[in-house]
Order: sequence, then structure tokens, then C-alpha cells
Amino acid sequence: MQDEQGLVRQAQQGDKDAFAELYEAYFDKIYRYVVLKISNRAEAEDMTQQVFLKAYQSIGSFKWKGVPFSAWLFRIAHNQIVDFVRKQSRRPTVRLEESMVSSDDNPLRTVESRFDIERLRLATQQLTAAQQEVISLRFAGGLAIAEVARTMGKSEGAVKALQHSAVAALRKVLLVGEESEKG
Amino acid sequence: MRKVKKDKELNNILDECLERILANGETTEQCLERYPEYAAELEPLLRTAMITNEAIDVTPSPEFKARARYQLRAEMAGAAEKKRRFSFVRQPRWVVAVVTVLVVVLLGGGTVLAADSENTIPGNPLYAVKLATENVRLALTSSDAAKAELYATLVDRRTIEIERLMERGKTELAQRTVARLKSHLANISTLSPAIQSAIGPEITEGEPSVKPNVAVQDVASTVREEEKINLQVLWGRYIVNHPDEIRTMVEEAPPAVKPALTRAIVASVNSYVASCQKALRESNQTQNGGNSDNSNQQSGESDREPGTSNQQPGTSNQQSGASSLTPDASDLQSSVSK
Repeated sequence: MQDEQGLVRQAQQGDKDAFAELYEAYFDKIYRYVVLKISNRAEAEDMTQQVFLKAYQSIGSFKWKGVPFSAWLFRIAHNQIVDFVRKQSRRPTVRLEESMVSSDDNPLRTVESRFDIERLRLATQQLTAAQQEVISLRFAGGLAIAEVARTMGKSEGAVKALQHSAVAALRKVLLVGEESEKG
Repeated sequence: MRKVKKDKELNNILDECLERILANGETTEQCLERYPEYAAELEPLLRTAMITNEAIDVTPSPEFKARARYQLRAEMAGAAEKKRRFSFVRQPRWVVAVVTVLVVVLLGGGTVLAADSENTIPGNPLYAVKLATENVRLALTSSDAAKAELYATLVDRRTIEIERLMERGKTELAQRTVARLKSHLANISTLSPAIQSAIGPEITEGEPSVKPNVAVQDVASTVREEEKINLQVLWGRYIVNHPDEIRTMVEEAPPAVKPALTRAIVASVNSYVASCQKALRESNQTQNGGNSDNSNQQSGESDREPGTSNQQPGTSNQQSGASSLTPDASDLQSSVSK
């Protein structure tokens, strides 16, 4: 991809193709980020689309102040999810549906991934909000630790510590889940 | 104090290992070998991180991606209309082509040209540049017809890469390339609503109704007539060159849409045949000094393939041209009926 800063500048000047390139670079990452937090397939797809429509409409307001474009984009996604969860908090959740496919197109793996991501989503709900955010940005969003730090407004050291505690907590939750399934 | 320091070190080592595994493709074992003194604490953390990473490795379905892309483009087109800005999409196709070439050359220079060759296969350091170049081309390609042609080219490229990887025994990389190839085919199939729209009412009349995708139909309805014909010809060429993929596509299609899909395929092949005949006729006319009288046409007839003739496309000749390719079409028909 062309230099991201240059693409953003062009997109801010109305260059649709520059925005299209940013869109292609981040679409899958934003989708995974949303999917980890919203289990309903249709809602997750709608929300992913909304994130990019919102980004396109307000890209003129984005300013480079040490915060990367990815941080801004994930912040939009985060805010949309918070709004959605607030509105839907009393409604029952729906399990993941078949449109989510594993990237290697292996049907067996698709089934496993579908199961695992649902289980992972439930497991991450046992973590603190900050731990959840690190897992979402680092694994679903595919951001490097420095980008996660800037997105969350924390130091890299603090995010590394959060990442460590999040993975350790996740392990405990998954182990407890496995034991209860066996029992 | 010592524990705090050790924790901090472990935080750093865990992150370094994750970066090596997630971004550089290193294995858990390689990381553990790098830090044997931390292996006991590191291993369960890395295993959990890997499970997390695998569980979250989901991609949006091609249908959703295509729909989202169309909706974003529609939104961008609407915004551009309001602002009356320069529109890349509305430029003539030759302008788009020239600008695309300029952008690719100016951005990447020699590196892009070197990377964008058949010799650059997965595992080559320049392969990422090759993929990036393809993505730029796709991003800069606006029309369905051009996109279909580009995806067809990418399918051919992936096939060559797979052959070379298999020759070298690199099965894992070949499998990844197969996944990319499948993704290109899926993208081509998402263009089929526009292709069906291009073929017209004959295809959909009397068929069970399939819920239309409004966004796709909106976009398809704006495609100019000339572009529709081009799209049909391109699709026809792809069908003739990739009979196995097309047969699989028909076999895997829902029963309700199989008849319409088959007719669409036959109609596209007919368009392609008509286009080939037209080109052949023009070529013959040029060779005959532009003299198009009947005797010259008849003298050229003996050089032609059986089943092709010198009649005008769009007349009964299309039927005879189609019949020369009916082995393919009837194979498809029979595979549907099985």
C-alpha cells in the first residue's frame, strides 16, 4: 500500500481511489474487530459498513497528531459498538452464522473457527475492558503494540503488561471452560 | 523488585515472540528456543495466543465484501455528485488505463515492474510487492467488465504460481495460493448479477425469483450498453478458457438458479463467438484490401474453422456459431440435469 499518510491526505482532498485503498487495507481487520464483540452476523456486517461510511463522511476532520489513521478508524468502530451494545443490552444475543468463513476456505476449519470465535468472544467477556481492547486490537485488528498503545492512549510498556495479563486471564477462562465441558 | 523486573522482561519477550509469530511467521518452538530460561512461563501464554489468533482468523464472505464495496462506491458517487468534483470513475476507459499505468510506474518504478513478473512466486521477497500492485490495480479499476478481466488474469497468474510451487515441492505455499485463486473465482462470481442483468429478460423470465441485491442491481443498471456487451464477451472468453471451473460453479449453484445460470453461460459464449467471428471477418476484409463483396467472403470461407461462417453477428449466424461450441454448452447443460 502507498504511504498511509499520503493516502489519507488524498482522501481528505476527495480522492475516492485513495479512500478505496485505505478501505481495502482495513476492511477485514475492522470486520474481525467487530465480530469479536458482536455475535450477530448481520449486525456485525452492517456495523463494519457503517464504520467505513462514517470514516468517509468525516475523514476531513481527521488530523495527524501522533495518532495513526488505524487508531482513528478503530476508535470509530469502538464507539459504534459501544452505542450498539447500549441499545441492545436487553436483547438476547444470536450465535454466529455461516457467512463467516475461515480465510483458507477449508470447510472443516470453518466449522472449528466458527465454534472457536464464539467461544473466544464469550471468554473475552470475562476480561477487564482494557484487556478486551488489547486482545481485540492486537489479534483481531492486527495492530502492532505501538499502534495499540496510541489507539488506547497508553504507553507501550503499559500495553505490553496488559497484553500479558489478558492472555494469561484468557488461558484461565478457556481452561475453566474446558474442565466444565469435561465435567 | 526482582520480580517486577522479571515481569517486565517477560512482557517484552512475550510481545517480541508474538510479533515474530504473527507478523513474521515464526513458530512457537522457535521462540521458545530463543528464550529457554523463560520457556516454562512463555509456552502456555504463546499457545493461548495462537488459539486466539486462529479462532479470530475469519474473513467476511465474498458476497458481503462485494455488497459493501458497491455501497461505499455508491455513497462516494453520491457525495461526488453533490460536490461536482472530478470523478475518476466517469473518465473514458483509455484515460483510466493511462492513469493506472502512470500511477503504478511512478509509485513503484523498477521494483514494481520486477515484482510484477511471472518469475515472482510466493516465497520470493518481491511477492508481497506483486500482490500489492495487483490490489492497487483492482482498487483503480471501476467497471465490472474491467474487474472481471483483471480477476481472470489473476486466476491465470495464480495457476502458474501453483504449478511452479508444486514443481519445487512447496506444497504449503501452493495451498495458500490455491486459497487466493479460489478467492479470485469467488470475486468473479459476485459479478454475475451484473452479467445476468446484461443478458436481459430472456434469462430471468419465468425463472423462480431469487431475492435481488438492490445495491448490485442499482450499479448494474447504470452500466452502459456497450460495457454490458463487453462484459458478456469477457465472461464468455473466461467460460471457454476455464470449462472445469464453470462446470463446478454450475454444479454447486442452487437448483433454482441452475437453468438461468446455464442459459447465461450459453448466451455469454455466443457473444464471445460472435465477437471472434466479427474480428475474423474484419481481419479477412483487411487482408482482402477492404473489399467486402460476396466472392471475397466466400474465398475466405475455406480457411475458417468448421461451424463459423461469414454471417452478421446477432442474426441466425449466432446460432450456428453457438452450435460450434455446443459441446461445452451441452456438457454444462448435462451436468446441470444430472
